[in-house]
Amino acid sequence: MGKSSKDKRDLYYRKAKEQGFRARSAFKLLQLDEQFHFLDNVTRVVDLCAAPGSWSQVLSRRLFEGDTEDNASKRIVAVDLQPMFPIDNVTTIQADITHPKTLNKIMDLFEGEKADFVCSDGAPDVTGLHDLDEYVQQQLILSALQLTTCLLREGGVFVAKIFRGRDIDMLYSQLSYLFERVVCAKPRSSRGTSLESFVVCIGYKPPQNWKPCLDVNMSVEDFFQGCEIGRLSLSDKLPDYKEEPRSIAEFISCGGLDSFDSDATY
Amino acid sequence: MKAEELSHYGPSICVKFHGDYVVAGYGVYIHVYEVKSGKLVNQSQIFHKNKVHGLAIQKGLILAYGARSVSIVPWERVLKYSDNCGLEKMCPEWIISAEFSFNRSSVFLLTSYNKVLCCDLELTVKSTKAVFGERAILYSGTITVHNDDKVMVNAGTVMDGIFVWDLFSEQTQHHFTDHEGSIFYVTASDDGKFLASCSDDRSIKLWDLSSGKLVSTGWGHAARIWNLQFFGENCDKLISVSEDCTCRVWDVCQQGEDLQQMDIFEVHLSKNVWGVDVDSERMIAVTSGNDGRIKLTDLLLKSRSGDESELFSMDDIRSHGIDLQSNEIVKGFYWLEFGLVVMTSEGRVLQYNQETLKWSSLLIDRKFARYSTTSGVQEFEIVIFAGGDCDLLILKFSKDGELLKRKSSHVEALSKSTMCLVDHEGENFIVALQSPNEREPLYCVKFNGESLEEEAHFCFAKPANFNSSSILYHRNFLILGSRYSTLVVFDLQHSNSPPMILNRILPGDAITSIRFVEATIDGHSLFSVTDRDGYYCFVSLELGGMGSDIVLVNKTSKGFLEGAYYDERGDYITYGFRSNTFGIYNETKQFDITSVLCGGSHRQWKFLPNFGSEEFVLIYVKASCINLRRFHKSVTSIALRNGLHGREIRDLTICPNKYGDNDHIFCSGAEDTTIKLNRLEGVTGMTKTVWTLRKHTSGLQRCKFVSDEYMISSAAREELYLWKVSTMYDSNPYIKILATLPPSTEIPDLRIMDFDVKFIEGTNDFLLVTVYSDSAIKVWFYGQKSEKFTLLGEGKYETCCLLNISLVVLADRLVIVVSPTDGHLVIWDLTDSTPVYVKDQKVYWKPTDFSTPLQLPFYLMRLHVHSAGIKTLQVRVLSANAFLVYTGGDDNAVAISEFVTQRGKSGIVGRVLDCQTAGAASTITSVNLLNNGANLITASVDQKLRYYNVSGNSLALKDVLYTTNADTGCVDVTPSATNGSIVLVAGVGFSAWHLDHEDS
Ligand SMILES: C[S@@+](CC[C@H](N)C(=O)[O-])C[C@H]1O[C@@H](n2cnc3c(N)ncnc32)[C@H](O)[C@@H]1O
Repeated sequence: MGKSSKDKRDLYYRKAKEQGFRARSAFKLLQLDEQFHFLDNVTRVVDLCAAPGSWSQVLSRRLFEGDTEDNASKRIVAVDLQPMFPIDNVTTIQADITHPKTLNKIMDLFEGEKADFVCSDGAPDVTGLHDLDEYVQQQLILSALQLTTCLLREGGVFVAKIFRGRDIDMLYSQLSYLFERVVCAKPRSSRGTSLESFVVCIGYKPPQNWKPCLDVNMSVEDFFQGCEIGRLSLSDKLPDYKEEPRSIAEFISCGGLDSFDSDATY
Repeated sequence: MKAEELSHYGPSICVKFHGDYVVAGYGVYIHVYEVKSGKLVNQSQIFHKNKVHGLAIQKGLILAYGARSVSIVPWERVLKYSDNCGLEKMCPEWIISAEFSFNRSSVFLLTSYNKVLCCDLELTVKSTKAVFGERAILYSGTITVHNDDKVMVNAGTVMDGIFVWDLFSEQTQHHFTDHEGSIFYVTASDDGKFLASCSDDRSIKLWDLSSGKLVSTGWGHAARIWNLQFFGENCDKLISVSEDCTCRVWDVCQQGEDLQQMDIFEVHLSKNVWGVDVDSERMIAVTSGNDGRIKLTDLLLKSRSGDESELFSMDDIRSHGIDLQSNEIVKGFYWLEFGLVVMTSEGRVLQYNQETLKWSSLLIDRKFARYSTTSGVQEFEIVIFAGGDCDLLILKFSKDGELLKRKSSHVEALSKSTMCLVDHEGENFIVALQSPNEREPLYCVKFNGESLEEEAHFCFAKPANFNSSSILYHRNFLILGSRYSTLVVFDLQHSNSPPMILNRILPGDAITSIRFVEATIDGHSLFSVTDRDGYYCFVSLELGGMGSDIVLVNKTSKGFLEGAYYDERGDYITYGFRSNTFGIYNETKQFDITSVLCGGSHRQWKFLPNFGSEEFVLIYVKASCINLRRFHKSVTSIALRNGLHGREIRDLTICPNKYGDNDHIFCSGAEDTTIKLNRLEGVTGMTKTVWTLRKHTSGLQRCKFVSDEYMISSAAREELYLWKVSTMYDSNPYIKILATLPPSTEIPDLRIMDFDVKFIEGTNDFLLVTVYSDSAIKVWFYGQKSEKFTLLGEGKYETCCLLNISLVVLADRLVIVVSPTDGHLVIWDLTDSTPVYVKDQKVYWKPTDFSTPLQLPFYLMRLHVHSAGIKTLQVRVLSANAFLVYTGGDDNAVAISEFVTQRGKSGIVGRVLDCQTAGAASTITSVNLLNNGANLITASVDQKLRYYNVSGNSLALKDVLYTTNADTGCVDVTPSATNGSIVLVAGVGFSAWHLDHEDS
């Protein structure tokens, strides 16, 4: 989220233009995939917080270009608060992903089938109150995670943008209850000077004793009640202050040292 | 190790008036201030880690909330105890707002998913309320408690506008969707008539709650609005605070589609005012912001005492029975204790008595018709008129306005006089007359202030281009400020000796004021000088000798400068015009004291003390009327607390020289492009900014003291300045720029990411190495004599950005350690590519011709230490052939690497000794050795300080401290007076810690 004047000078910005991507963010997904290969063989995906749509473009190209068989079973759903110009083979929805009704709409589009991959590159309106911004960011991730628990197949992959602030280790800890491996990855196309990175959660393992259940009258937090993801549960008495479980995820820098450095001036 | 946070300055999100107090959420603390005295009554910690975002106060209880924390604390405990963390409770969701119930037996907590928890005073949840199906995340919300049965929730969503719902029936009453984007604040008036809201669209909307209609929209804020409060007797006004640093007052009662803005105040620095409240009885607003400032604003500043302003037309004066000519106009005026003395175009002297409110005509002297200048000496109750033909008329009054003495004289030495400057010292005053003729001397007469007898006169030959605009009579010296920012010092005891002339001491033109500040220990005198173009400086002069030294040059952000002075508290106060207003500004604390819309500087005006402590009068002519504007001392203190920067602090550096016995000085550089020179009290950690320097034009990258008095700062656009700090003055420390690094192109766009310095043995000359965002490295020589940087050599790493550099001197080699964004430590040997030689780990100059910069060699070696950019490094030289590098990175790791040179070989061998990959949960932004290298402290963006024992080749984590400063970016350390360390930590906000290294 740099200033636009800087973006103009940015190499990735120029590269995006050349390759027909709507935003330089495309390279973040490409570099993440280069490292983790999570887009190999996926057929049904959800792209949350997708506007202007460069991730959806990457997904559309990956899923539909070249190989034409089985196109009928393939599916890309993209959601954002902002309207999006159409992208081939992508169904777009303009909605708030924290609203339970939105998740219902997405579920409907999958007609009972599971997804292989869910990603969210969401970023809220940054206010400058760091704790609030981080909270809202984490809520976007939890909303995405809520959908994920309802929609992702076992073993599937979830990728989300994070800002590594004060409570990021609490999120790592929560995610590690639901996935086999949780990695914090920083593509070289994401500026080192920004706190942005991506959490790559590999191998979805639905909890045994908890069944996700979407209810339009439930908030994200209500939804995860009873799911042992280490969050506070609501008892009659608000509990005293206590430190919640935290863990530090493995860090991987991706994109290779030969890729362009987004902090450099060229 | 024992750690104590001594002080904290940082974002304050909420403020509230409570009786005679202001209660403010300040980080994890609640601060209580007494409004009248401005004194901090208590600082009480409320939460372990979360910031206090909001407050409700009822019946001796404070309900505080912030993030997922909530607490109900007795007011007595908030006043008395420093720690109330034990009462903190955790809510499963973020709390957007909280209120007491009408009968105060319970509380309502509105959480971020539009649900209200109804709790008793023990915070046991009795019931929860929500509107079916509306559970998207909220950005804002408030609860309006009308009575036991009616409680309304005003909820602001991300994309679905505002929901106003009834708590008990759980039914939506209004759904307002006219705003665009997220709703950042929404509140209802106490009487339930109106709702006010603001959103990402930067407008304020006022809604009628009975009809459900949009009443009006207010535009004006230049950025997003964060808070709104209704106030006034009938909730007829609204106050708003914004990202644009202003607070604005709006008129709720008006008709029409536009909400009318009634007033605007600039209250905080660079970005974001978060909290606001109004005491409707006293009509004072309190605001709190990202800059850590808690500020009071008198909403009636312009009308409070009633005698603030008076206006007299010529007809008004005639109505006092004075027979003015039809074309007679005001030519000059002066303010004395009884009131005003005026000279007209007819040579008529008028007198206005502020006690009796009467105008009278005193005399007519045609010599002063057409052309005259008016000045005076308040201390002697004297007014002085000078005519164009070198006539002087001096009138002396009693305190209540009776004319006591009158003296006329004529100066023969000049053919004409166009400028008359007056100043006094002791029992005397001096009148300096200046002729437009360059060859004529400057003629000065010394008078006795009581008898008005002429005691002496002086004829000074004028230097070239002399055209004086200000005067100071100080200890037998006459200091005149002239055009081209020139100061001329005439010695009254040796009027034949040539004056001392200081040319171009400021970038502007006319010098508008000269004031004596202090006599210094080296026998110099320190003066403050301002120029009309907005610059000011402090200059130290050896009176009677030739020595002079400018110790500070700065520019105010507030337009032109007519003068400046230190007030009772030691704050530097400036005044002057800015477009069409005249304003008084606290330059030290960086806020407006007051301003008057007077129509600009191209008019007759005088700004003089009003014979009371810190009271002033501005007299000006506008539309041929005389305007009198008195500035009273504020009814309250103006700032309850002053913070540091309004935006992220990027770096800070402590001066090795202390200031006085207990104070430290440090510089901080921020995203807001300013550098601040600050004083820190060693024992209490109390910190105050002394100077705010606006030299950089882009966000700061680094600032670092490189010696006892030299500090270097760097930023984007290839900006790098060498500063000199003076600590020998009592009034304040001072700072000025010694040299500027020449950029490589006319429109530089590279960032200077870091730099390091090594002094040439036995001199004040040094080598400087700078690293850039395009992978470039440059080596410079700084010569103290020339005060210039010369490029010695340059090179490049690869294409990636270079983040850090350290110069290391080994037995006979000079090497640099550079960290790029690729996670390597890269070593160059500079010994052969710079005109220096190294002996016994000291650097000497090798006299060579270095007119063409050398090309740096290929790097010697590199070591892969981190898997992402190394954000911080510190070098520790172990011996003549080995050094350690402590690093912290974007990969959360902290590492120690060792580099060793081998005897007889040119290579260097490096290896990683220890690398803790989970050194933090986020980017490590700072590593600092302390306690003579026995310990290491790291700071990271997860808001933690980690304290390690450094034993041999490894790090052992000993302690983790939490810091309230988000975006934790920089740390500096200095030994404390008690064998511990003082640690300064900054990011968004600033804290001073004391660490006691003894194991307890
Ligand atoms: C960085 S952009 C995404 C860029 C995108 N991945 C691409 O490659 O074009 C972040 C997006 O998050 C969206 N967003 C933020 N909060 C949201 C919410 N609650 N629901 C849906 N989208 C949201 C914003 O509207 C914004 O378009």
